[in-house]
Amino acid sequence: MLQDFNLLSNIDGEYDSCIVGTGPAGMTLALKLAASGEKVLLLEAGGLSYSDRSQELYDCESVGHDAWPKYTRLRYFGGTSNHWSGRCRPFEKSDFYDRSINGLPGWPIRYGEIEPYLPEAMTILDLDPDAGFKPINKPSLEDHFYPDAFAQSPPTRFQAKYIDQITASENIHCFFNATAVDIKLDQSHQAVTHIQVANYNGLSTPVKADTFILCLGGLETPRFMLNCNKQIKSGIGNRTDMVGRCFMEHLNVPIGSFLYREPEAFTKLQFFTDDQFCQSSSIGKSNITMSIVSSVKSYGRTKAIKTFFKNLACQMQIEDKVQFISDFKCPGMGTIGTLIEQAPNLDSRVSLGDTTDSFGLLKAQLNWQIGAYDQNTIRQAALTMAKEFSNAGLGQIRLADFILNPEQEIKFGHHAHHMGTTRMSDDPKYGVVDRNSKVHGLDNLYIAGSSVFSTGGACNPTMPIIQLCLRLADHLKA
Amino acid sequence: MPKSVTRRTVFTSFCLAAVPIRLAATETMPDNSNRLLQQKIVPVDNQFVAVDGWVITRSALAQRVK
Repeated sequence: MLQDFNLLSNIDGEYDSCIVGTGPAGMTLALKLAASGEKVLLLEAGGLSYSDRSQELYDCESVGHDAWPKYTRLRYFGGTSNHWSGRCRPFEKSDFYDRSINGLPGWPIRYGEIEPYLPEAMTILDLDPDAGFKPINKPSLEDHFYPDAFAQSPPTRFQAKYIDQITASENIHCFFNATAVDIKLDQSHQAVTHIQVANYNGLSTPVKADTFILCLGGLETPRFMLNCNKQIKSGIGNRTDMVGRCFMEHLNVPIGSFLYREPEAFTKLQFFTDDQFCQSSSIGKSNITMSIVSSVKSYGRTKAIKTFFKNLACQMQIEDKVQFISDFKCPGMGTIGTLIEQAPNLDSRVSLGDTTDSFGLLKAQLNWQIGAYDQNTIRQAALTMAKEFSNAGLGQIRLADFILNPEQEIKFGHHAHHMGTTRMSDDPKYGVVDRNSKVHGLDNLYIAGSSVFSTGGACNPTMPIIQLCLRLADHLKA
Repeated sequence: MPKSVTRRTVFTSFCLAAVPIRLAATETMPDNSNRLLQQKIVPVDNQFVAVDGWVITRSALAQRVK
């Protein structure tokens, strides 16, 4: 059943589970739990399509490095799956080894606990489990980099794929335009009794369930928990002041460019750092993609002018200075893309700002920070890659000045992967949820999504999100 | 002013401006070892150096200087 909460006055019924959020995490959980016979209440704050009115509620102030928090996620049915790229890669086994970074423990579970869910997660993401993950290139680079393997989802748009199934489902009651605005705890503050839900018309109603699961993403989940501060001043699940801390992104660092030995034969190269190398160097994982951009992106007379200046600039070796005319690379020159693991860091965090949204909730404030560990990861990975690329006879890499000069500030961007803000840890001192994704100190509140990642690895997060949700569904059913 | 004349004027201006710049740059551009010495050389480790950002072996650098 699918209904517009703007047209209703209340949400009746008793539910086994209340899931807040309809992105990949929320929808996967709802379908899985409903299939096992549970009565599921599924809440979506936005509508069925994009609207500025809804997206405006994702307004978020950036006070550290800017990760574009307002635009890198989508607030409507299907969530951020409505614009994700579809790139899939599971975590590495080594991501779950015992380790401590910046004084914080890694995952409390082992990869073996989510590995069995990989085939089902691949099916959900419209991938063939038998095809697996294939490397796009063969050559390894000595001991430190090996060809990366990934799979490309169409990409799966969860709304388009599942809206009919959810509409027809007897066990799922889904309401859109239904914003969760508060969590009410029992007198002992050990269990959630209900969540208060509001529509755009100013109407608000409590919804009840045995179990509540927040699937709001790495920014909105901590924001919501911190805003629920009527009974506990520090917010829900925040007794150890960990909600919102350890915000992690995947670092997108323009480490340089390269010349390939045989440019005519080049397609694309992709490498992943070897775990032994990462461990011995005390650095995070890196995923490095090398591709050649040779075509000028324009047509007709404009293309002729841009091509003229491209050829002239390449001959004069002043291509860096004329990039404002057109985004091009000289013949044989390639760009290097990176997706680099960021370590958990207490100072990198989501907190509440001073202004409120139209529901009276304080807006989020994002202070994204990278630390010395991350800078070392970037420089070590880039330098080692450049040396091994040369040694392998594949060509030469030209590194950016900020890689070669440690005194220069590193330039980096993001990949729109918001992780770690309600991280998983057996010890409440270092995390918000336990190994079963249950919020520490609360009997019936769970969190799903990339906010529970203890560390982020160097893989796109959607695949592991789905695996963890399937595992959580099994736990809840048990 | 007609649109086509504007485009032609712009294109011609670009070309006319670019030719002397290119000639000037060609005349002053040093080559071989002189040019190499003017580039920024940063040691990477005992096997590699970065010449103007390009990471090459020290032996390759020595060969180019010869």
